[in-house]
Amino acid sequence: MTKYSLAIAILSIKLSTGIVYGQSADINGVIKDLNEPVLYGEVLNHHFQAVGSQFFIDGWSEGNIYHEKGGVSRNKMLQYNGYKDQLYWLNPSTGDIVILDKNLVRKFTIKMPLTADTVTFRKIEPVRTNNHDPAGSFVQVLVEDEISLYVMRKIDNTGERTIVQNERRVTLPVLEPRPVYIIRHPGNRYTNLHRMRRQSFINLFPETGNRLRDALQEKRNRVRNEKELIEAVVIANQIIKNEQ
Amino acid sequence: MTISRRQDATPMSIRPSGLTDRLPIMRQTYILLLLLIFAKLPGYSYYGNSPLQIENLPEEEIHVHTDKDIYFAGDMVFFKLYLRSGNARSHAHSSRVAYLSVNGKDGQPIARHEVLLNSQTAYGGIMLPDTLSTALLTLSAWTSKMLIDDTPPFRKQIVAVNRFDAGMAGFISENRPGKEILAPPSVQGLRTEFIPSVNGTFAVLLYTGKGCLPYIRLEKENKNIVITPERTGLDTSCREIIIARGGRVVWRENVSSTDTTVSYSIEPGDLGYGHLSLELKGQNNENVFEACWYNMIPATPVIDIFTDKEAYGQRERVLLNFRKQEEMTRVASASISVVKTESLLHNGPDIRQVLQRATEGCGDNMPCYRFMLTAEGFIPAELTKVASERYPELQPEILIVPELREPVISGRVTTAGSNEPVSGATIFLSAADSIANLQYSKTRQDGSFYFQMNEYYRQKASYVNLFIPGEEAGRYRITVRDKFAPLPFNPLSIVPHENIGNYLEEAAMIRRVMQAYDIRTYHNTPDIPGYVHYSVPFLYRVPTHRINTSDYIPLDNMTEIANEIVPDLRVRGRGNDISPVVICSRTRSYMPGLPVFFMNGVYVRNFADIAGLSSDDLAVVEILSVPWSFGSIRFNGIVSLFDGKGTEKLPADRLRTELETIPQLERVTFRNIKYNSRERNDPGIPDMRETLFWEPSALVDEGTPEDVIFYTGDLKGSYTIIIEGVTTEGEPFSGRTKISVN
Repeated sequence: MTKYSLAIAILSIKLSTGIVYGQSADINGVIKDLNEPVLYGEVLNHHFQAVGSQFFIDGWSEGNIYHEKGGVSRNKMLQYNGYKDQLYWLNPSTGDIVILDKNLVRKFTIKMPLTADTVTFRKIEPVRTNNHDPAGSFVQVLVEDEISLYVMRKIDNTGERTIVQNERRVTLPVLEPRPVYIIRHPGNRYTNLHRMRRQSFINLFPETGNRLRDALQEKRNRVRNEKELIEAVVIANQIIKNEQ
Repeated sequence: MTISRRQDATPMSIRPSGLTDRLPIMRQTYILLLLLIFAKLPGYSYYGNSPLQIENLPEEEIHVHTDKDIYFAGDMVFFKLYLRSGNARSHAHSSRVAYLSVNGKDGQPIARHEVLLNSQTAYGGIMLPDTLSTALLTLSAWTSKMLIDDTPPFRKQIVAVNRFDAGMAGFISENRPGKEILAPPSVQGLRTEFIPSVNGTFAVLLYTGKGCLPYIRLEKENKNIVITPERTGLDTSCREIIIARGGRVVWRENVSSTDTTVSYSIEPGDLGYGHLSLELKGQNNENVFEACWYNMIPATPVIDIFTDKEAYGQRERVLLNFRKQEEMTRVASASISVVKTESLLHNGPDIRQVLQRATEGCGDNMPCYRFMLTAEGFIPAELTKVASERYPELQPEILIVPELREPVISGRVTTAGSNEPVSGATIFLSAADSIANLQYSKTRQDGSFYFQMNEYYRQKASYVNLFIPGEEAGRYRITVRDKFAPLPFNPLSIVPHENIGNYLEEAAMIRRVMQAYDIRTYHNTPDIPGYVHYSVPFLYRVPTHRINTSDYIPLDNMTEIANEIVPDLRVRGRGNDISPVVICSRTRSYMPGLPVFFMNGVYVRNFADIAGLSSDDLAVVEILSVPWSFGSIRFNGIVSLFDGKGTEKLPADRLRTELETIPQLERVTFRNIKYNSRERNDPGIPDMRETLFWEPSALVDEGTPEDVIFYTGDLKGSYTIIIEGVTTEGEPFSGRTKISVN
């Protein structure tokens, strides 16, 4: 009996404060709207046909956009076009695909389909990537530490292929991923890794001398693929930290 | 609100519940289920732990320290504002914007300021217009969060005097304590009388109505309260006097003795801060009477002020030293003022708190307190809770939101005729500028809209307008909420002293001297912290084309400008039947619908309004000739026109509403004067400062204010040193002491 009375009393209090909660919901709605930074950019109204995908991931993925001016747009449908180095946003209000103004974005994350992983892209100055876009380039963050490893998920035109489309022969460019690995050294110095070789990697860190070579040999890391490159950068960071 | 009532009350938890006892268990189960269903309805749901939700924001209070209480018309009011925000987890959870308003008795604002807080404090100066008549003014301060919580605003009364005002003498006589103050009507059978003393405070006589003890006299002598029961010497039916705080006896004394000469001395701190009752008990422990009063002297004073001397000569160095009374207390922020002792009743932070707190226990329109104990002494006070006087400017149809980052402006869109709210409408906010800028808001169900206004908008003419075609504009009306509606008030706490006339005469003479020598008490400072960084609300960054009209031959109208020199813009039609269209720079095809035009950064509804502009009227034309997505809006091309003259000339638009520019704080710093030995002996320019020192941001080292040095001026007399501030716990404190200059 007492328990029932107590439960009724608690729920009555909760209901009596319902109006306050209702108003709170409205206020929270306004606060949310006010702090939601606006996304803007050109509406994609022209399509580029090619053999091969222009995108880092085919299809839309959920992600967050971190604005240059500080706000965060969360849970947006995003797609990264590696061929044009553009971030696309599917505007739910209009159904438009929007090429987000690069000046707006500091970094963004994308959820990888089928896995729980989230990858992060950040914008770096164009001079680091030999890209001509003055607004900068998006690079995927692979390692962020004293020594950081970024990869520009570049998709290049590697040739042409003629195909039959609607009973017409059309020549389309062939697109293939051509990732560019960029290493940021302590002191914000950037270098590109041109060849995926252990020696090429070791040459980037003359100050570590043989310690890096020994460590990589010990781990049987030949720096032949992205996974080994990531491990190699982690090892280089450990060596630097041990020296400090 | 008496002790006896509280004692009589039966605690809720043990009171039998008649209703629930009668309910059968099935019915209770049914009610429980019903309540559970309702509890799940929208509006009753639990809001998560997101940091920026109203439920997670603490209640706020404001405290303002001004350098003094009496000002002359044309004076600068130096102030320090402290925001106290409960258990705020960080400054991000408390208001960043506060409002300061100085109002006359009629409630009309005399000065209004929007203040950006930095680490929950702000300081600056408010210039009182030199046309003010002599009057009592009120300084009010509040935040939006306080409006939401219905927390009363901070209020302090100040006196503004106009030395050319014939009404000055009238003001003095009008504000002398009259019979209604000195001998107020009895409350619940208890008669109280106040006897003025030389220092502007009062001795309190409480008439018991009992032969055993006709009255009790309360007085403050030095630091202590002296209670003197007036006994007849024969009747011993009065047993004891009790002072209780929150139902707990904090002092008691047996008064059944027949000795008629005994007085009792009590240290105010022993009684504790806040609501107190003084009760006289009879032999059978019955209440003979009970008086409700308020102690404004903190139980644990935070800071003691020490000076190197008590009396100083003219232009002499004064060293102030501060000591914490308790090691655990830590001062977070403090301000210090040294002012010529004003012959005005104490009007310090304590009274202001009482204005806010004392009324909490009162019923509506019921007298609550008879008197208060301030640091100076007892004063009469009959505070009444008058809810309607709190925030008359509230416009309940517009929801108020906390301003945690930037000032927020709000308003409503309604239909012009029936005043019905218009929901889902798009409202634009843009500032007159040399860049295209835009913020937009969709009106809510109640027609309200909100914009966050960062520093970018300061000093710029800013406008809100509806994004609708020209022909529909007449059907709607935009109303912007006025943040500074009149705040009428009833003066309560200021009672000028007998010597106020002399004080004002001297003050008027000081102003004449200062004017003759062109002495200013402050100097302008270039910037105020917290006003520097902001982001520009760009509509776009890089246009497709940017055309300087001066590079081309003169053209007569927009049709010629569009068709001749602006790539991708065409104006079709003739006469009044003209319409612009943009060619997409990507597809080279006409874009459907009309482009949107901005003139000097501000949205233009009708192309017809700008169609007559010639190339002489325009310096730059920018065109963004791609379909442009801006949040949930899609523009079929954007054309921005700039006249380059900085005139902010805009075509007429009935719906466009200019936002009122709220004055910025005076960027001023008090001029603290330092004398070297030569200047000390060679007076030269007379130093007639009434405020010798004002430091709004005292340095604090390990929770204690650091030593302060200032110099006396040429003006002889008594000076009051006041320190006010807040502790790291968010509690306000104040300390004061006096020095004399001979």
